[in-house]
Amino acid sequence: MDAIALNGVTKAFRDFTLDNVTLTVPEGTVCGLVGENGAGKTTAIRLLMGAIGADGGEISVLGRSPASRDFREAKQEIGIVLDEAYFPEVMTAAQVGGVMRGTYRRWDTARYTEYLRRFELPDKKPFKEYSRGMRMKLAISVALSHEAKLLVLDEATAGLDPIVRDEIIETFREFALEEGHSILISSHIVSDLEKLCDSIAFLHRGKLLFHEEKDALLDRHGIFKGTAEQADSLLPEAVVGREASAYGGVRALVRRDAVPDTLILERPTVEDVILFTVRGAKGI
Amino acid sequence: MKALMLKDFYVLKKQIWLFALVIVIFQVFNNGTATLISILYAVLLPASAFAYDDRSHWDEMELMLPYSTHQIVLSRYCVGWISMLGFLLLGSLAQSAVAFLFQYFDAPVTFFRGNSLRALLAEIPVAAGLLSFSMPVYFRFDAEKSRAVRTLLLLVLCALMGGGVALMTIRNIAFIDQLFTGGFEQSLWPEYLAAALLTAVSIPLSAWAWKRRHR
Repeated sequence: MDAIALNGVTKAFRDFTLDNVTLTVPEGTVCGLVGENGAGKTTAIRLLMGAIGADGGEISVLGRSPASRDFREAKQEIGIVLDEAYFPEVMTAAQVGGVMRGTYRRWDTARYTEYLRRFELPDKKPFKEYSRGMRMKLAISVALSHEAKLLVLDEATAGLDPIVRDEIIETFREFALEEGHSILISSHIVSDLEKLCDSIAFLHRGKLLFHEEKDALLDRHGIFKGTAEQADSLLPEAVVGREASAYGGVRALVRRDAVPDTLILERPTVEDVILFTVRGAKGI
Repeated sequence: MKALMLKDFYVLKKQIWLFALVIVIFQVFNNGTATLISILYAVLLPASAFAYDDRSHWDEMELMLPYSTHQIVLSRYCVGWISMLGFLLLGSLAQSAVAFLFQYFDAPVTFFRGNSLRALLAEIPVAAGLLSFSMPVYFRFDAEKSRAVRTLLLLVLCALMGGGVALMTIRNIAFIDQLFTGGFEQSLWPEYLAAALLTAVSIPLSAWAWKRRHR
């Protein structure tokens, strides 16, 4: 079963359109949703959580449509972390726990307390006195304390220092290791996604440019480094995108199946693939 | 729904305690009107809860959690009603206690005097009506805008009511006198009926306003 399935989903706003997005996240996998600010990541997440309605297409999350009346049942099994922990700032972690106990049927107070202890979060301190890292850890503690099967994370690691980010990514990895657990994580910090994800979906200006298994994506591409003349000699369809490097050279992302086997290519990072894809789309 | 109400009471806890203290102190200096002020303040409490929500962007989170629109809307009304009745009770208790201490009554002390009880019963639908009147505005707009819209609407309402009262005075209609001094069965039931009708309209209107704001 797919944890998430978007089929031809469209949502138009006055100045932005999420256009015909088709994306599936199979159960038990981790999908990274990448894209620049304003690419449509948050819109996609709001759509699949039923916070806004789609203009067209079909959405299914844990087998239920967000437009259906029983979608609240599906939400019981979804842990959500947004780019900020939007809890009222006068509340304490203990009070947040109390509210969530009344919100989620399978709320596990012991597990929540354990997460608070693990993240060293004071449970009596008002939320407004928390640092950003602490706030996000509280949001993650809530998302992981009600036996969720699916985690939906919208820029959950944005603005955090590398140590906290690493700690949080590790927590997500632990979650993903359990059977049947799936994650959709949106971020523009691609290195985080590279550590965690099985597949990468790339949204650009409201369009899904690709969604592919991470290893296959990296295997299919290579980084070419050479002179401008050498780069020009490559087939145009082989070059995804290129940039001038230092000392008059050229760095390009190429499709391995469209260049000679003898050409020496470096393995790209997900960030390379994304940056060059955007450059290619812009015709740079 | 209980979770959402609990959240609101956690958020408003400090304000509630502070105002409870103010009610008690106020009774000492101005015995008689504190119940009216307290329930009117209770009507404003949901506005504070909305302001806190706005500041923390709680509504963004709320949309992602397993709450229905009706739970979200009704919980706020319940917070308003509970606060109203709570403050009413506290105001009345304080009123009686102060009256007792100052030997206000000539007769043996009872919980409510006849007149006070009647005034109190007249205040409840007024406050409930005001709450129902304000809620769709809170649900539709952010804290700043809703404050402005609510004030504007109240001014219009007051002008209309003032006009109505003036008209009744000119025509010698003893409606206002009856409202606060007449028998319950004679004059208060229309007030309660009006408040109930207003509430019955206000709740679906708030649900619509909330959906429209977040669509």
